[in-house]
Amino acid sequence: MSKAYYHITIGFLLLAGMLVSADTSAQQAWGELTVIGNKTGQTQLKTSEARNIFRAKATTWPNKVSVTIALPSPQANAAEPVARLIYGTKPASVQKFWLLQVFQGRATPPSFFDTDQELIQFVQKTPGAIGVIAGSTPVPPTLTIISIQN
Amino acid sequence: MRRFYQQISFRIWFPYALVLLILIGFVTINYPNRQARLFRENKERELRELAKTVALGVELSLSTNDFEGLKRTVDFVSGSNDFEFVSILEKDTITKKETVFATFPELPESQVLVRDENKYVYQEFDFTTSEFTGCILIAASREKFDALVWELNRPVYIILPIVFVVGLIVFFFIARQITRPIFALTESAQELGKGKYDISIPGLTKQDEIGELSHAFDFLRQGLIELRQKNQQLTQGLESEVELRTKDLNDALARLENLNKISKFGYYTYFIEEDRWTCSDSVNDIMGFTPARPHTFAGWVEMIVPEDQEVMAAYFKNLIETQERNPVLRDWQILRPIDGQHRWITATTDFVLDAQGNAVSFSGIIQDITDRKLIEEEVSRLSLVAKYTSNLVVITDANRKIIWVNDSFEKLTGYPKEEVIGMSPAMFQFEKTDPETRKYIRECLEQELPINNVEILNRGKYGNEYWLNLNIVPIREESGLLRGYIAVESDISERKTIDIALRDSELRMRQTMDASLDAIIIMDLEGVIRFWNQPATNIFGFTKEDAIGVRLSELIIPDQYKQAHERGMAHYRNTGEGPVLNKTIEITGLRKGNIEFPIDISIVPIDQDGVRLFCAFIRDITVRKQQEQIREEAQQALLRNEEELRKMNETLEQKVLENTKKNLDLSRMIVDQEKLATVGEISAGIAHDLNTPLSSIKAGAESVSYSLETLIGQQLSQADPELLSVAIVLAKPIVKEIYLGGLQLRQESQRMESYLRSLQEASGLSDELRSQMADKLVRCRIAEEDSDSIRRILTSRDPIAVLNLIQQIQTIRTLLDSIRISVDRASKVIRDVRSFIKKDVQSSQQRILLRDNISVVLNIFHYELRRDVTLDFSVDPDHIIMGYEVKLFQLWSNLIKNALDAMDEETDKQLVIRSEKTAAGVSVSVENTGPEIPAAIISQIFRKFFTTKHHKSGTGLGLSIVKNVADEHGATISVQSANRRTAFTITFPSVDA
Repeated sequence: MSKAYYHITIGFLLLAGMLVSADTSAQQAWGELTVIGNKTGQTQLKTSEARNIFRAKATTWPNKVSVTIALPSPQANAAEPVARLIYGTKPASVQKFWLLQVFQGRATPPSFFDTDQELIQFVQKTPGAIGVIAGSTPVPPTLTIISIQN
Repeated sequence: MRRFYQQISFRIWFPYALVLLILIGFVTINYPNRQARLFRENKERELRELAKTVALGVELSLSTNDFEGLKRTVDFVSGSNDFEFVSILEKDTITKKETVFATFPELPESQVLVRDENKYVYQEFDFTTSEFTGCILIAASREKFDALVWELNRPVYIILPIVFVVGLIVFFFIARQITRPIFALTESAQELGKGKYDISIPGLTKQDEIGELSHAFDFLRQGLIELRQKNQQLTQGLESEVELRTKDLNDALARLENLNKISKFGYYTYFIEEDRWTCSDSVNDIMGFTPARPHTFAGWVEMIVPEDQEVMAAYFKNLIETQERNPVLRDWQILRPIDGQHRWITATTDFVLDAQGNAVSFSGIIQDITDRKLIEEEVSRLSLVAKYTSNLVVITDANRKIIWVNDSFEKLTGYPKEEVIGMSPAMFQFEKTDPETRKYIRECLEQELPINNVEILNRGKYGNEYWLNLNIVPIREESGLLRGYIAVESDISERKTIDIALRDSELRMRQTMDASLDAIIIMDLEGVIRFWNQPATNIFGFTKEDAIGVRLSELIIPDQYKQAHERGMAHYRNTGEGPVLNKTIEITGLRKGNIEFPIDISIVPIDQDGVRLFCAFIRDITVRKQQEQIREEAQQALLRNEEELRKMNETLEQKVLENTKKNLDLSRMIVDQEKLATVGEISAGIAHDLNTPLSSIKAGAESVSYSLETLIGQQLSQADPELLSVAIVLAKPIVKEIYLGGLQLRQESQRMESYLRSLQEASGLSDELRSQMADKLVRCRIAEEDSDSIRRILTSRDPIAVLNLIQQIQTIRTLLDSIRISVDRASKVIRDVRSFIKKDVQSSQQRILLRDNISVVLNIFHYELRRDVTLDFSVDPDHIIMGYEVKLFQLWSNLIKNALDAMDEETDKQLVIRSEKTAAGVSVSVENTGPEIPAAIISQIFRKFFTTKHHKSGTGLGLSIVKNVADEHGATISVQSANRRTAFTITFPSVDA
């Protein structure tokens, strides 16, 4: 085995370790949150899938319905865990993230809500919508809770 | 052809075109700029509004989380094509550093942060939220801006040139419209100018200014038509006139040619380059050309007489070279080839020049002046006659004003020509001129008649009176018009004087015969008395009436001589010989009362009107006999005087010879050569100086002798003792003026005559006797102031006799005095010579007066000095030296002789002898103007036998002697010779007081 191959293998192992570690934390963080959806066709998503959807990297659901994102506003209680777990940042930076995405036309802008109730109502009314609320908030049965799996 | 810009249409069109060009240019430049500026301002404003909108959208989305609005805003902005990119820049509030947050469309950060103002137009708008501070930056392409501006202005750039061109064309046609009538009128005027007066003038129907101009042209056309008609009439008249004049001119030319022939005029032309000349027929006639003769310059020269041919050739060659326009004309004598005659011609010359000023030919007039030449020669000869004739020639104009006189006239009258020209010949007449003669001359001249042989007394400039024999001829033109007069006058003064003298003589003879002391008796061959004068009456006691017609032998001849007298008369009648004729014989006469007394009788045969007569001059010699003794004594005295004079002369000559001998001896003692030279020169001077007074003595002695003979023989013998005593008393011892000039004598005689008239004692004298008395008184130099003497003479028994005696006595005395003066002069010469040549016997020096000492030598050299030497003798008479007189003579004579020899060949001879008292003594300088003595020989000139006069008589001892004598006197001698002057200065020691 060459020396170069050795280094790549070592690098890959270290990256995998990191990812395992992250999944572990996300499992922990996500517990504080509940991801709900309306006619998304999905009940379970992997963390990465969930992150891609919330980071506007996926714009349609498998059922061809457009993805509509609903997020808690920076003033909402779930803002901080959302920013931290989904976006890996602070709530204010989530705004800048979306400012950048919208300004550059990369994504349809999400809707921000000050309360989880307003968010739930929005998701209920919006097919293809996916939102995230505090884990403690009750979720109406009309909505699908999408479980986030590591 | 008039150029376009010179046409009036151009001048109308051009201002419009210029204004339009300026206007279009102004709009073309300003309007697009303004549009571009407004466009850019508007676009920038729009960009700014977009930036502002974006900023508000961002601000709002971040504040309200409403990113939908932001999306709409972005969609709205992205829908616009007016910008290139829009960026959100985040600003660090602390560091103020900008970073690119987002750019739409996406671009590298550097492209956003680095502002390219040339490429983009930027606008930005700031915004601030709680989490974000930044700005919206929007950029638009500047190229697109410019493209939009061009698009905006493109119509302007297309339309304005079209407007400009259209405007030019429109204005051009307007201008053409204005000028077309003018062109039409111009063409009409040109047609009128060409003489086409039947054209129609355009624009006559117009009511504007062009219409008025057309009417004016039409008026002009009508006027020109009238003028042409008049001109045609005038031309016809002029042609007729020219025809007549041409005919007259041809006639005049023909007449001129005839006149030329008559006047012997003709013209010629000589072509220099071609050496050919042409001439008129009259020149051919004058010159006598044969047809075969070449008309060249050489042919011309050959016609001149041989002696003038070279002169003629040189004359014309000089003319051609100098091209003198007005050369001095001269006359030429020609030899006519056709007949060999000599003729005189004169020719004028004038050059014809080409464009470069070179003479191509000359032409002129030739005239035959042979007749004039002949007349001139005749006139010249006559002029010479008139000029040099001894007769006076006067020419006057018709008004009898003098216009010319000859030399003889000037000489006689004393007036130069210049003073008498314009004057009347009557100016020479004066109070003595005979009034009848003057009247006769005047009347003849007034009637323009000639005057022949009229004698007139005139007076000259200096009062000289002269008699002229006048011959005056009027000068007339051929028409008879009087031109003036020629007077030929001969000086007959001498003849008139003789005539008058003869007339007076006859009168005087009669008077003299009567007044004579001698009895004058004229008898015929028979011895009959025909004339008996008053003295004859006085002497013989018979009156004229007693004597006339009586036989001489019967009246006054004593008995003892009567027979001899009759025999002599008979002998003469028979043989024509008379032993006693023409002799003075002394016999006795018979006075009335039979008193016999001694007489002198001289019988002279005379012819009167072909009749032989005898004239007997008889003088009573009773008194003369009584004076015989006196006469004898006077003669003895005269003989003694002559003997004395002769002896004196002999003595003088002997003394000269002796002194010369002494001088020779003296000189020989010094040096033979020097002595001989000096003696020779001294002798020559002495001989001359003695000769003059001796000649005077001789002449004076002869005159005295003659006067004594006259006095004694003719006057004393008959003089009354009383008259003689009066004469002796009144005769002056010496009269300086014994011979008087004629003029002085006349003037003084006239004064004396006037004086005599005033004297009572002379009142009884006749005019003739008074005139005689006056003449004698003047000759005796008795002036009016000597009134006592004059009265005494007048009261004497015979004043004339007294005056004659006085005159003779005075003459003798004066002559004797002149003899005495001459003797004194000769004695002085002898004295000086003696002083000069005497032996030097002085044993010691004596006081010598310098001036006297030098004067003796100068006297010796008097003859040489007097000839041509200017003497400046400035020696103080008081200067005295101590010395030997004779040796000093030797010193001065050598210096003076040297000076004269030095100046021998000079024209300006000056001898200067000066004395001066100096501290060292008395200096005497002898200076001459002879050649300078070369400096090289000055030191040698005092050496013995040194001379520069080898060719003369120089012995080389003169200056040596001077030096010795000067040394002997303790004197110094110096020589200065410079500037054509040589001076010998001798300084003698001072004489102690």
